[in-house]
Amino acid sequence: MEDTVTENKKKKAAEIRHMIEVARLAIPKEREAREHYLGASRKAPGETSRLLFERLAHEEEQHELKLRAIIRHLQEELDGLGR
Amino acid sequence: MSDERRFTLRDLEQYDGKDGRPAYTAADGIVYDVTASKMWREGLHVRKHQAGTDLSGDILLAPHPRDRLDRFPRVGVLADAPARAPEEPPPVPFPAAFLYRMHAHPASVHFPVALVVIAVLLDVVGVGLSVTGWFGGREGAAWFCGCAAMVNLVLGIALSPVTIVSGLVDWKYQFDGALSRLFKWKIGLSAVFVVVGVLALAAGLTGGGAVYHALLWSLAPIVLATAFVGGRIVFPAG
Repeated sequence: MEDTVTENKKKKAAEIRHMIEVARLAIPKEREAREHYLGASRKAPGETSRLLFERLAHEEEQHELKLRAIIRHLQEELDGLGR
Repeated sequence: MSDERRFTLRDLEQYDGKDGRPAYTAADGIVYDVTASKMWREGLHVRKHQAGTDLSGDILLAPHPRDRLDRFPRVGVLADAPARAPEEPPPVPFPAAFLYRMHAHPASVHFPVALVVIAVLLDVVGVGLSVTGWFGGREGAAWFCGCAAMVNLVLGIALSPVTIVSGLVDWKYQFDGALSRLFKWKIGLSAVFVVVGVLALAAGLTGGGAVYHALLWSLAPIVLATAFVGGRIVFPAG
């Protein structure tokens, strides 16, 4: 019985670690995309394109913040399993 | 001051949806009544999430968007919801910011890999020519290949600190210095590369021989494995 609980905890921990790693590897992609849009907004030839790129940059920033929040939550869950 | 009802976490616990009690759940400081939902029978959602609790963290991992909860009646706010500021990316100090901005790691990482692999290939050819005696044997083309292998090895090892330092900067500021499985491999393999590379260099400069060739040739799988792990980090979808 105790072995099954330990085994389940190990599986859960492995899954959480995998989720954390995938989320963490995605953060630089979000940041690159944000910088890409910010660069485009700075060079935008008109108001419409500038606003579009700024909005897209903001969305990428929100993605990064969401990924960070997810990582923090998963890390807390992982720490809880270790207790 | 809002007229909304203020719940504490302890108040919320009373609304667990069991035995006919209402099912309330909270996210981001807002309390929702999910009693009428078929997805919250007996206060349990997808056999995992219990009503009467703050699910702010769990909702981040939900397969549905956060605003799905907004379909349910809002019945109050959570008075003692833990204040959680969004986790901002850490600031990058000057020297590291320079390396980061200049893309120092992606720009430099290919040099040690290519130079060391070329060193190994030249050395293999040199040993082959030396054994067979072709193209002048030991004093002919084999000697030239051996020298060229050594030059490539010296350059590969000499450039590796730039690659390693810039890689550590990227790891710290792009990936928060997290020691996940891939980064353990990358850092471990890089350390092995430096140690074996320096030993190969020392063996080569002090007369060569079988130890030198063995150390040098072992660098090829080490450096290629390091590059492979680097590829998994930069192109995780590949």
